Amino acid sequence: MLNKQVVHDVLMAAMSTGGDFAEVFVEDRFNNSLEMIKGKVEKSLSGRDYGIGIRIFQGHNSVYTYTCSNEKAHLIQVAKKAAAALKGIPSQTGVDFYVEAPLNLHPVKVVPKDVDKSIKVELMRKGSLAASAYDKSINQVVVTYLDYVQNVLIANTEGKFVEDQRTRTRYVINAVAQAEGKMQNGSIGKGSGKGFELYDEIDVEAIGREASRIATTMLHAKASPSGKFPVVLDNKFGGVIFHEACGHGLEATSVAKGNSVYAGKLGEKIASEVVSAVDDGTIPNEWGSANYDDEGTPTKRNLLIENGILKGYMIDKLNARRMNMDITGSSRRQSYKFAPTSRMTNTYILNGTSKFDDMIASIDYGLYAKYLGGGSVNTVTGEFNFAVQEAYLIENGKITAPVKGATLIGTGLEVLNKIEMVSDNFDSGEGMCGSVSGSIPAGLGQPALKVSEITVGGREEA
Amino acid sequence: MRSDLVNQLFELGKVKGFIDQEIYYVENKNTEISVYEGQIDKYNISEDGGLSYRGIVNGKLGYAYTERFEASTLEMLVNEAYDNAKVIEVEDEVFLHDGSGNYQAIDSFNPTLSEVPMQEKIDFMLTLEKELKAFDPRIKNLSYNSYDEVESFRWIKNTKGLDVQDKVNYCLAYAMPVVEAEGDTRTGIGYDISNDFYKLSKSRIVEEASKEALSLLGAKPTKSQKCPVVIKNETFAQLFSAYMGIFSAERVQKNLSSMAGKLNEAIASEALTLLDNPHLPLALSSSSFDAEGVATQMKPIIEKGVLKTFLHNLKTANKDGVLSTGNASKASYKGTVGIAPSNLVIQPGVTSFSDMIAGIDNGLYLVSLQGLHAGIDTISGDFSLQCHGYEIKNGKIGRPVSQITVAGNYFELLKDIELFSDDFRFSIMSSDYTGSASVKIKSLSISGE
Repeated sequence: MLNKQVVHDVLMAAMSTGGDFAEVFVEDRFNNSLEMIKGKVEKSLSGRDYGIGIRIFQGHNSVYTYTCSNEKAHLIQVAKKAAAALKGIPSQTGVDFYVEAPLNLHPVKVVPKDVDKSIKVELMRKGSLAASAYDKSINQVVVTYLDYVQNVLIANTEGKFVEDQRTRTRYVINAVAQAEGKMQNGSIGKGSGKGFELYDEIDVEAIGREASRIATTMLHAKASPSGKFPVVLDNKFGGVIFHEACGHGLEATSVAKGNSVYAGKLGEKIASEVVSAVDDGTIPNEWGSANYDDEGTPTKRNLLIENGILKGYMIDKLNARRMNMDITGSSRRQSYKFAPTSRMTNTYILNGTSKFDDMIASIDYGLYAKYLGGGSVNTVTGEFNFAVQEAYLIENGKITAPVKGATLIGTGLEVLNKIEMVSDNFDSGEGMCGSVSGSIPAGLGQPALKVSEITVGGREEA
Repeated sequence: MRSDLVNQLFELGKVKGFIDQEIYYVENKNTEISVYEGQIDKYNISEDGGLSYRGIVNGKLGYAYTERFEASTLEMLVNEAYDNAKVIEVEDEVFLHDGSGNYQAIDSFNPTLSEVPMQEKIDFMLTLEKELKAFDPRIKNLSYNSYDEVESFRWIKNTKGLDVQDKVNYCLAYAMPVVEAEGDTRTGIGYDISNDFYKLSKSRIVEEASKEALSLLGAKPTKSQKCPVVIKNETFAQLFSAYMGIFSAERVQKNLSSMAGKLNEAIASEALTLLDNPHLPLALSSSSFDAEGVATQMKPIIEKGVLKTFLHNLKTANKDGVLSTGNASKASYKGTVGIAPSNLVIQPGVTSFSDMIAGIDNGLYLVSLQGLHAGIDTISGDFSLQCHGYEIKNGKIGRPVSQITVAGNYFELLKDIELFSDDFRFSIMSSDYTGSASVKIKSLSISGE
């Protein structure tokens, strides 16, 4: 991707003003996306991203620069310009690279780029037809397909020189139901680190029907009640609650400077004892997995919480210096346009022993959140929020009427301690996570959870 | 980008069978400086750019883009665009613009900005951090802070005679302090924006960032209720902007907006007038041409509550038998052409903020809404959002509130707008560059205790 000698010389130029560490990140990525609206392909787009990011540390200071040009003279000039922000004398005059044998823990069988666009179109049409046929109130179906292959080269002044390839595929159906002047959408998707072979394993027609089922169910749903009551959060994308309420607060980005409610709490009980959680970038071909993180460190399975006790954070190289702790192989970035930092990979709450039916049966009045939407968090205060796409009332131990427009809010520590039951039906979901180093694919997952009390924001009084 | 490469690209495209062809080229330069405890924490300088190519073949428009420029890339662009055109199934007529129309000259580039020595910009941030910490003993830290400087060049050229370009720059400084007292932690944000470095005001950022955060200390939930709600100027701009897609002709034509069929009907209270103004000096989305190279124009979208126009590009305008409103957009060179507003101006009223509050016996004043990317539904109009603010009691602002949500329906909210005050301000946090004054809404649902 870039000649070893060029990488070497660029690193040395970056170190010319007293930096104590420098890194080069080369990215060459090919993107494909298609959009089908009402059964007809409306958009087809492809293109190539290419660029080189250079990062320099001096103690806790960091400098980052990037360019699209791979000419040696230009790269050296760019590195020197960035280095000019630091003051000092060079401490390292050369580096011997240790070229790591390529890892391939996430093998791709069918490279999506090699699959003809017309085959992708037929796959979209199948899902679109199934969604449209589900109910006569479905008046609009949007199918989005995308795939990319990202090739990266990461080298640094510690001698690291690794190359890696990441493949991602994603398929999303958005169905809109309309009746009596009201409109409602439902959205279901699947993302993966597999190649096109993913589509031998999943049923796109079922995805289409599920999106339409949500849209039609929610179209006729009444407004969600508001107030504080028990909530059961189902598996798969339900994992977004841990992602927002806790995961972001365990990233060194906020912990290192003390801007997290979880800072300084290692070894302390921060959650109910039925909660154990991990961040695991090694799961084969999962949405948030990779062989190496974006600093070239092999990914790991990091234990975050064990039986309610805080066991670890997610730490990148720069913050490892601030925290005086080890890196965890979870430094990530959207592209060469971002300096990497600690981020989640696939973040899961592990299976417990409760049964889903017992959870529901234990509640007199509450909310069953079947599919969650996105959310956000202020890591400094721990306050989080997320939207519920499909929800039902729980009345006298039974799931009853569908309700719409609910948002769940709370603070991380409070909700973690109010997790009363953890079931045994773990499943995962996929999302895009936006933060300081850009928007990246992040895996989520959990078994169904019962939270004893959470604030539900709806439009009706309970 | 060299002209000879563009000519070479158009030659290749012609051979491939493209009838009309166009390039959209962007070049950016960015600087970002953050500080932490008296030192530079982050210093990023960068340059990037990319080329989007599109062409018409067999009545279909194919797109491809690249960030790498070499001979083989030109072929890749032409081949990919051709393959992409081949799978398009919609029958919509597609066009490239010929460059006709009245282009308003806009002065949006200040050549002296990048000449200000970097050290002055670094010192600005270091002093800002120091002044913020000195402002109040309860200010503990800065969670984020940054000086951002952006310079962007854009060039559109096609085989039908269009050849337009512009260059813009601006600088932005912001800081987010963390304040703490009696075990409660709050964050605030203050910012200033200009294209003249020497006009950035540290004192404005310090005051804005600190005052709100400090006054929110000790915030607690309030009871669940339906009550009148005042939404702060910038906060309302963010909410409004999150729903702007409903006015896109593309969404309307695709049955993805409930504004379909509502042209010239009252969709909002008479208090609401909304302008799309691409010619404002010193505004982030000002430009004399849109992403298809069509001349931009100032127009009302909503006038005294009546919907006057949808936003169009060439394709949607042709479908509706109207002229493009100059609202073709591209999020970056990577995307296809869509539709977006330029600078949005919600016309302020004449009542002062304090008079607006004085008219409310029991209500809430909301200063921030969270989760706008998730908690709103642009199709049904429903929203339910985590928020912070203050109680309003007997015409006065009272104790701070947090851990509550505000819920409603956007289409009903538009009709429930009672009045805007006179405190107009643009928000840098909204997805479109949107300005609003604080607004009083007749009633919304609050969920708390």
